Amino acid sequence: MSAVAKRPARLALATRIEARVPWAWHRYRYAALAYGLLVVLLAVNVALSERFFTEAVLVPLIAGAAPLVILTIASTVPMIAGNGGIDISVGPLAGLVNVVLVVGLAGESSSPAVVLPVALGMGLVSGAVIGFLVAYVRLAPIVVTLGAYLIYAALAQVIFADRGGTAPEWLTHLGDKVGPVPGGFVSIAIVLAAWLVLSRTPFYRYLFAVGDGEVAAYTAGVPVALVRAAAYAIAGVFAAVAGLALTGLIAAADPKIGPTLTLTAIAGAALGGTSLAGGRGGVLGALAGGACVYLIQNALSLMGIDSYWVTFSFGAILVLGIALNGLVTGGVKRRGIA
Amino acid sequence: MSLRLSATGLGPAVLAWLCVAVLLIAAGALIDGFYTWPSIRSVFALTAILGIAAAGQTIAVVMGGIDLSIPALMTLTAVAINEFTGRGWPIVPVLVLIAVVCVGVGALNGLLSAVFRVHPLIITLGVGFMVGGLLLAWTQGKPEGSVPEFITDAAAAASTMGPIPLPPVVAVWAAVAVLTIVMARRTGFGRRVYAYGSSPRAAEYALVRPRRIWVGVFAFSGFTAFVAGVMLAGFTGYGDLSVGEPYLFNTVAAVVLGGTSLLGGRGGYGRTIAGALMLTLAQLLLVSQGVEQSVQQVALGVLIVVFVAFYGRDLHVRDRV
Amino acid sequence: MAGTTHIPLTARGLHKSYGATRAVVAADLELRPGSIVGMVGENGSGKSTLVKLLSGVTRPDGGEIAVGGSTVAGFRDPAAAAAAGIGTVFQEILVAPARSVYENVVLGADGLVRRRESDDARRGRVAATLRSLAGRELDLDAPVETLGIAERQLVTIARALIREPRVLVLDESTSSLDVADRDRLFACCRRLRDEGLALLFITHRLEELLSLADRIVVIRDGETVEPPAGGVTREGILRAMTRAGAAAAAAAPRERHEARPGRPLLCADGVTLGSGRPIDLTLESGRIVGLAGLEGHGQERFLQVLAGADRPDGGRVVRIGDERETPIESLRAAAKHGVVYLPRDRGRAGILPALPVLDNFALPTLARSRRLGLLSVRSMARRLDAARDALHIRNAGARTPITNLSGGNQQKVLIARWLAAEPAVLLLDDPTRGVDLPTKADLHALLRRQAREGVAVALVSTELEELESVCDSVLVFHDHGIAARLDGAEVTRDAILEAMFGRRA
Repeated sequence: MSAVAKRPARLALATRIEARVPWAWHRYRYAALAYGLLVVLLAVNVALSERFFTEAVLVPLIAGAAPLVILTIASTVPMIAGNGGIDISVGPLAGLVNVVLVVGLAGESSSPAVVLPVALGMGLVSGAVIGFLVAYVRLAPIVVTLGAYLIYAALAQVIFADRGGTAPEWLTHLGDKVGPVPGGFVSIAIVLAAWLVLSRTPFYRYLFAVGDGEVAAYTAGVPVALVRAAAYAIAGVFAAVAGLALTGLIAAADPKIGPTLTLTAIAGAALGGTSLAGGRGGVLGALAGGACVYLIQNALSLMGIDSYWVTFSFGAILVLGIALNGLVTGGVKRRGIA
Repeated sequence: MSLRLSATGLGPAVLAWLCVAVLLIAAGALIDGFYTWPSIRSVFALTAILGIAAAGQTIAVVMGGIDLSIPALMTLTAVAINEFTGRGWPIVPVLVLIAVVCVGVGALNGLLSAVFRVHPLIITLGVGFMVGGLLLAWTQGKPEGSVPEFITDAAAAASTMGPIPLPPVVAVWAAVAVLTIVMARRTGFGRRVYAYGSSPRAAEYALVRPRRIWVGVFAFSGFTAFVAGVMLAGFTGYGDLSVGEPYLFNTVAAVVLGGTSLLGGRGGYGRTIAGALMLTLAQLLLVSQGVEQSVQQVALGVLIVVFVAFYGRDLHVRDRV
Repeated sequence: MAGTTHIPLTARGLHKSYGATRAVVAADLELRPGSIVGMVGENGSGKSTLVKLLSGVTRPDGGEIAVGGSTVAGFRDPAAAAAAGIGTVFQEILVAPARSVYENVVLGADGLVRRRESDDARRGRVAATLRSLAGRELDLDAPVETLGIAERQLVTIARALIREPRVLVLDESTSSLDVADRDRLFACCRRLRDEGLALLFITHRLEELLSLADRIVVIRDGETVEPPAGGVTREGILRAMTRAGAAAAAAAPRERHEARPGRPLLCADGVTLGSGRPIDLTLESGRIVGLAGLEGHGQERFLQVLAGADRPDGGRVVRIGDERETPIESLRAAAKHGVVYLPRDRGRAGILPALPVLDNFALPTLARSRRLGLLSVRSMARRLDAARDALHIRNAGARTPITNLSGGNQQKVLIARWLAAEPAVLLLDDPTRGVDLPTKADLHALLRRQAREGVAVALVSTELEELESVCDSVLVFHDHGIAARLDGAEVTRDAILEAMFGRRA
């Protein structure tokens, strides 16, 4: 099968765009299912809630979705880098950030000048250490992040230990509104803006290349280990932002929330079309995937479904969505003949 | 990802058992009365449930997959035993019924992964959610009932089997171990599982039927989860919706600490036994030193990372050129 | 390439060992600007290791490399080698399949944070380079996975060229190219040479060596050897390369297998592939049929259809048994009826890398070693011993990891695997690819033996010599249909070549 262009070298702008469109579709089709599903879920949610498009409904909705969506994006990045890349510690890390901010820093030291560096610093350090262990020491990612998952979840319990505390006042805007804009949008926008900046660098292409063709990248001179380690560092920082959003949302500390968040974030990433084999997928899909997961939960509770059935429904929808995604994207490579 | 092995291919296995030996020595030094039969016996009894559950996980990992639905199936088994016994149903049909369900769910896991070409990590996670959710709905959050006596007797650490001074649960573990190892090494299915884990494409060209491997492996994992769940019911004496939780990652940890490669094609259950013992001994040591549950978990996390650093290192990219 | 200074590369006394294996013992190499040095060596001669040393993938244990005026004891990583001006195209076609052609070509050319050159400025150069290699426009934004294997190889060559190296190493870079692409590549190489590039061209194919290289170096047992002056002939090179006995075997007069009509065993009935014309072919016992053609013209797919590994777009494949005919629609069905298939990609579709020789050998025939429901390791080992003796497989203990064996011996294990199934029809896709000359001779002899015993053999091959010397008849493919059928004495290199280009002999 060869893709031989049938047009001569000089192309008019229109035909050049036309020639690009097929490849753009090829590049973004992984997210098709997630966005399709998102439209459906939005319709369902709109139908189920009265006055959906009002502040009273939308603002809490977006604020509630933000931590999950951001974590979905965070867990996507190491997956893209390939070689079994995955980060299951993102949820507990966000939970730990939440606990540290509320319980650890109380009172005067709750100004942005302290909170932000602490939170982002935690994310960066966690990501860098995990990235080092995975990319340079070359330990299996699921094992390393499993260790981190256990450590962070336990640390959150230890630090929380029945002590109270409140979230910094300014942070709670993220759970409400920042000026006229829903706080959730702000949190998500920060992450997307950061990713947009990254996407302009060669690093972005190398990240995908490393996941897709590790040996090709290495022999071409790409610093494979550094790219992979950076992926985990980015995931850590994004997870910290999710922790900030979470803190703003619940305005308190919840040491138990971390583990659940991880599982739903990974579900969202898979739904969003990012392959666990690496090299394929992306943040665009993750955005929709995370939103879908949240809207599913929202819709179920709006439908008044017995909360006991929510877990089942969530699992069923997850499996269905993943299966459909597998059909659309042709599945993980390494399966079957050719 | 492939793990580096010494020339004889024995590296990780030897190291794993070495670690077990080290932990045994440390335990003897730090815990009073450790080197007594009742104490050693309880180590085996405590490890048995994890060991049984990790048998299925081992085969799944050797195939190149992973099974995160094990805790849900174990909980299902424990709760179902309670509920049905509480309603007066006879135990044998109950066990058969639950076993069929667990094997069926496992087969479903494998089938979905194979047909839709999706990584089993996600599929088993989702199916686990579904099972957990169904369980919640069925019991309305409040499981009731009781566990038949012979099961609680079998699982108790202090039981014995007639003249043999070992609790029945250990015998069950031994039976599962023999079954697993014989299946892996001496049956066509087992060899094909290793072949598929080594290279799915090459295995298919060598006439391995992928779907059969997927379904068979996860059905087996469902079965061992069932057996572990029965023992768990006996051990706790009641069915609680959270009994299976620790086994979400415990089984993976046992497999990895034992030195079986997450890529597939290498390793085996013998190593997992060492890994499971390592976990139990490590936890015992920590408890004996008065370490709190949360801190224990931190230590467990660190331990896993440290141990894997010694013999679980992946190849450098240059070795894959 | 204007403006860059071209500096020689000199490697002196390089040696590298992997554990007990001494891969490179004493390699000396001098690449002068404006010259093409051809290198040839058997598998296991240290050739691949030498390439890894020069490209920065591995560091030598000793010796030095002088390039660009500075002498180093090896490169830390491929980026360092590239920075020193060495460009390498590896034997394996290394691409990131989901990424575009453009991204694959400029892979590694930038730092992490800033591009060295903007995309707009670079696209023109990339397009021009690809154009000169492929002879046509390639869509820069197409994902590489939509390209055929030859075009992918050209992408990897373009990747090295775009960095404007001072020294270029091409390792078996023509392995997946058809004759047309190869000629264009050679033209490119000669042009670069005339502009001052120092080129190291490594190939298995002696005709390529003789046609392209200014100087020839042979690598043997980890050492670089120059054939004697006046010895730049096929025979001279072969003698320098191999031990005497093997050289004799390789240079032996090519025996033509006697054509004998046999029983029909497998039949392709009106098989169409894509837009090609229907193909009718009957494989008969005792005959060796070769399938030839330029890359991507359908011969590989046709073989897969025969094997049941692929379905035809039209027509069907039928196994003609003693009593009845059975359509072949899957790999397993084929195997059940005695039709076995060996795919081309040994590393990824042939061997089971994590497993030992015994498993690699016995996997499809486990049922023959079953006792009381369980496998008998002893029975399997016995069968392996028999196969080992029959095929002269070296270093293949039952528990030896298959990856320890050389490419040639691995191939023998795989062929033994299928012979153990006692097949009626043997379908092989490029079975001697990447295999050293002595083993190649062994495999050819093996195929002839099988044919004599009544097996029907069909093989796809890219080497004209192999087709000429081994096959009773050759089908040449063009545009997914048969362009020519050559039988017996008609099977000559020239006839095959002409048919490949669509001209009838």
